[in-house]
Amino acid sequence: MLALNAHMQRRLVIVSFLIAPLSLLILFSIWPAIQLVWFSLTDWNGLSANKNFVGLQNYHTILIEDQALLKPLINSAYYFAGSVLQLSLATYFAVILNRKMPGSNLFRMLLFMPFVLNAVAVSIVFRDFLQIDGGLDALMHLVGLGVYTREWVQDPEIVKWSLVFASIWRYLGFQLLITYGALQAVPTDQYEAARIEGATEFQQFLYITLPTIAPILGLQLILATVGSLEVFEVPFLITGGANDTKTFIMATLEEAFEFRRVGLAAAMAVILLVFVMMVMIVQRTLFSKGERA
Amino acid sequence: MSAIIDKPLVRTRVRRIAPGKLIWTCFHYAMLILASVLVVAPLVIAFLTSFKTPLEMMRGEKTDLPNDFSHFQNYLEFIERQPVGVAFWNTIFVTLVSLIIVTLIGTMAAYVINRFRFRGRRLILLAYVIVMAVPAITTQVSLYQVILGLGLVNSKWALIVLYSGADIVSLYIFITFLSAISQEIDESARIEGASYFQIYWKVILPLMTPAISTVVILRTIHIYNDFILPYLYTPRVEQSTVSMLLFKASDMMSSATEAILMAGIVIVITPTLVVFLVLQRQIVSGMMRGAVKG
Repeated sequence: MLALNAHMQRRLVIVSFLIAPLSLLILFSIWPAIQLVWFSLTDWNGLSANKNFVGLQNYHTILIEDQALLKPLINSAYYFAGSVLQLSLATYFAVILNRKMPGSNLFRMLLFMPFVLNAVAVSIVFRDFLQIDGGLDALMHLVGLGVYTREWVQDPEIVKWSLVFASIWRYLGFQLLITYGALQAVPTDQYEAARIEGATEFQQFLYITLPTIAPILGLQLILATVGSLEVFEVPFLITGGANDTKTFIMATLEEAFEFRRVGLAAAMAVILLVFVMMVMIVQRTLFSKGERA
Repeated sequence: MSAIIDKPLVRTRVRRIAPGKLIWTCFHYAMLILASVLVVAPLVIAFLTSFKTPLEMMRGEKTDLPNDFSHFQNYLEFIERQPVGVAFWNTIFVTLVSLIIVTLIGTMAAYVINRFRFRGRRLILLAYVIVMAVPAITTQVSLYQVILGLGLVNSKWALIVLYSGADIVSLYIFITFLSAISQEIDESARIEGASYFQIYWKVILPLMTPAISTVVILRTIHIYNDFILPYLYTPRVEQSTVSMLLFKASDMMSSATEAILMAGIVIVITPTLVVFLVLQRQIVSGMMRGAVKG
């Protein structure tokens, strides 16, 4: 090692420390992304040796010919509505937990817990909980709400909201945690001053808390938008896509791995990617404006 | 003078506000309790179910307590029927090997990217930023072909390379942490004659312990709970993690064996719950650090 001069050693350390992470990045992230675009321009079935270049045929099929392929995208609207509700609930709970009432830590921990549990486990638990005469029905009978029980998973009108509920159940605590973290940045002496001036708690929230956490809430809303485009685990594991609950990701994976239409699936993935990128770009422009102001 | 006026004022204000505030406090508590009950209820019911006999399952309500909390028949049957040991061993193996790889290559890359200025550095950073913006789930269609080409489909090494190789959030955490450590520490070590490798190994790596523990916590939770990668790349439980164990078990089991499945779920969830209760503080702060990556 001593024989190497400083310049050589510098070059050696840069190359040897970067070779593994960069080859993994290229192999598992960049190369697949390039491949995805290339596949989307072919009629490949995933098995045969030859891929025929078909131009934009797959995109034409998805966007114009076969509208059924785009239909699952509508389900994202439910999850988006759900995530707006979830964000409001998370903010509400974060604000009241931030007042350090007795038991705050216990409640925060309980609400956060579902997020660290195995996705398959909680989905099976939920599937069981929502079935006819399942846990939810039994619980409602117990508290005298028995007449309001529904077929939570079988009724096509209700099942989407049941899945949204399952999704809120899982992710509420995580969002609560982030908002709670943002609340720590609000200086306490401002509340003190407001209280002396006679501001109500709601006024304190509106004029002190909200402006401080607004950027984090905005960021979370963007992430929620992206997230509602990418929903997969909750509906896949609870209903398997039955009753019109299939999401766009589920449809894409199905095309690729079951119907063996890799070219078409790749085009669907690219379309989703474009949507996500558009949301991200909106976020960047909104945020850079916020910083300048 | 002012003291005489102040005192009654404070008292009347307390009296006037107190009833309204009390109602609100009650309302907040009611909401918190409602939310907590809704969060805990499905899990508690699953737990109760796992101790029930077939007869109790048929006759009773879901919310009934089981007759006998030492009725472990469902647990024994789940362990007997399903490859529980293999799935747990695979999970531990995949998690440990991935963590070692992530920590080593992540800190190495962070060290070089943060401490050296070289040609191509901006390009590498740009590549990482772009790749981080691409949702991993969209590229699975083509990533599958890469894994297939490497002959890793149905091998736990597929999970290991993907959990460690395609993880950019960890690198981001390492770089952020390292940029807060003063360069003077490196420079003084350099003056004392340490090589760059020695600086990395003896100075940087030990200093990064807090960031490493954050990454270890975040990655362990992710790997233990993830479903999509095991589902796509290791469909056979023999090579897969606990997620696939439960997925396969739920596929095979009917309503008659529901209690056995719930026992399996308790088996999978319990280690996480124990770790969560013990490391609650670290998990929460780690999550916060990892989440605000945008």
